[in-house]
Amino acid sequence: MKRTRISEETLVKHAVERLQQTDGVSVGTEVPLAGRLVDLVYVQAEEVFTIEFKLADWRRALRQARDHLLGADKAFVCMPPRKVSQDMRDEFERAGIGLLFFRDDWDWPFELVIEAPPSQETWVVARRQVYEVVADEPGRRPTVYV
Amino acid sequence: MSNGFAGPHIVRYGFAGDQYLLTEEFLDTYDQVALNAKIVAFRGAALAGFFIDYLQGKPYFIDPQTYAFQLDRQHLLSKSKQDVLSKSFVKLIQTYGEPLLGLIDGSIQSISSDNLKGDQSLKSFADRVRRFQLEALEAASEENDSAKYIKYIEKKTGKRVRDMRPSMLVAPYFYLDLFTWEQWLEVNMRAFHATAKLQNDQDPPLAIQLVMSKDLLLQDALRERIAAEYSSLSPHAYLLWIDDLEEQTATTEELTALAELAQALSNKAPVTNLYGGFFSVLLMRHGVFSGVVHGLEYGEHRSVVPVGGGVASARYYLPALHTRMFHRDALRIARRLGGLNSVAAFREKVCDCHQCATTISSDPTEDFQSYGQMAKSPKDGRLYPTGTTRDICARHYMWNKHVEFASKESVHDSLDAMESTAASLSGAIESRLLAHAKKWSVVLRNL
Repeated sequence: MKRTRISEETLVKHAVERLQQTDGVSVGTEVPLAGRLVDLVYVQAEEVFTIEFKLADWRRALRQARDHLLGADKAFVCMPPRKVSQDMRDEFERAGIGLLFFRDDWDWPFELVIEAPPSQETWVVARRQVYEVVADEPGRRPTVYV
Repeated sequence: MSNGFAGPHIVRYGFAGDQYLLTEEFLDTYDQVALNAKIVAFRGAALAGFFIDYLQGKPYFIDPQTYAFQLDRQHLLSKSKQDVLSKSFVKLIQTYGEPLLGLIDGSIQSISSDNLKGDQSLKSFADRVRRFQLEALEAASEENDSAKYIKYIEKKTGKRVRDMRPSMLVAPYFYLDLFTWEQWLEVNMRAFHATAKLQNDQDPPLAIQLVMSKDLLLQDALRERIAAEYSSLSPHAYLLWIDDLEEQTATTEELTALAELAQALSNKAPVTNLYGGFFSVLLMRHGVFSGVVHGLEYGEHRSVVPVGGGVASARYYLPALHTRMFHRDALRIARRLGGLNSVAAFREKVCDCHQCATTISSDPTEDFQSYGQMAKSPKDGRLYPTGTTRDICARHYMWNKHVEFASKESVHDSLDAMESTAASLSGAIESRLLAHAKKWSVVLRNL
């Protein structure tokens, strides 16, 4: 049987489908933040969570996720389940970024592997804009982002 | 005769969309304009009109860009049509004539040094390149409405009101890299001599342009030999361009070699860096460079390929570190320096230029977003800076460049200030954004 390699886009799509079915969660993709487009942002209980999806290159994901800290309450990287070395764990903790595994077999699409501490870098302007895009309040969606 | 430089601060004309940044309140902030032959060939009439109507006789010179024709023809192609040369290159090739004409139909892919072996063919080529610089804007200005009026005044008064000729001429030149430098060096020497022989008393001063690769620059013996060859000539000025040398990311070896090369040439005639930033401005204060050229927000370094073109990305120029950076990085630094605490703190710690005085006017935390606003392109879904952000970033940059060129601060004081800022940010800000402070200091303090 032919085996198809999963892409980051597929992971995002599957995650969004399940988040949209979760009560109290608003979700957005390709959300502008600090000059980057965040793969996925969700808002739950007024908290803003950003997620950068990567299949393998976790160092690159960390670099991108660091910038998400400007507009998030917590920033995560999401990958397919894999081995987490001590070096990898240390780097995530040093950067203040959490790690999620993508779960195909759960209702909630993420398994928490490394908890993200609250962002110490949140810039109110960027957070407000991300929140407005994702919360999708009529008439408040900005066309220009920071 | 002067050396052709009206002053040390030279701005490169980029494209029509940002030419307004050379006018009005910015007109007195710089001394001279650098133009590329490609844009002169393509829109000479419009440029002539711009100079007459808006730049009030600001001196200029034209980089003849003759090196473009030693590159493979693919670098000269139109972006929109397959295997067709861009219109501006066709015009330039037709003006410069042989041995370039075969590039138009593709019968040759590039010119070689052998194509310019004969003294007569080189002399004819040099003459056409020289005349293009002398006449391009002068001839184009005949089509301008203001020019007709000026001509009328000149006729009536018998006095020359306007001189559209460049302030200096540049001899044809070719790029030197590690593999082919010997053959092209010889052509460059002969091209200079051929042009010098064509000069008459009425002509502007003659400059020679030295364009070389970083790997060649780093070869001490070769660099010294090339410097000696160029020093054996008697130009009024040297124009220097090191391929893709970005001062912030360059190594100390590259920066030292740049300084040594410029120093060697400056013993003979004034040297201007055609693509330089604050490191070059400091070298100028040190007496090594006589002038520095930068673009409107984006031209502090340039690769030989692609030839010309490119549009600026909006970034914030951080005066304390003398470098452009992404808005998010500038924001982090401004916050770390305490510059977002109040308007007064912003002025003191981040920037007090005219643009920031307008933009950062009530709450820096909110106001600073104006320098980083982006919009998603409906075409490709990517984020691009908005027009307003591009505009204010460029204005902020131009004001800061004016301050840098006009400042009388000593090299050591400038370096001390940069190093102190970098030290205060160390550990909190990515080291790649701070590293140049130390490198510049090492190089400049050892000169």
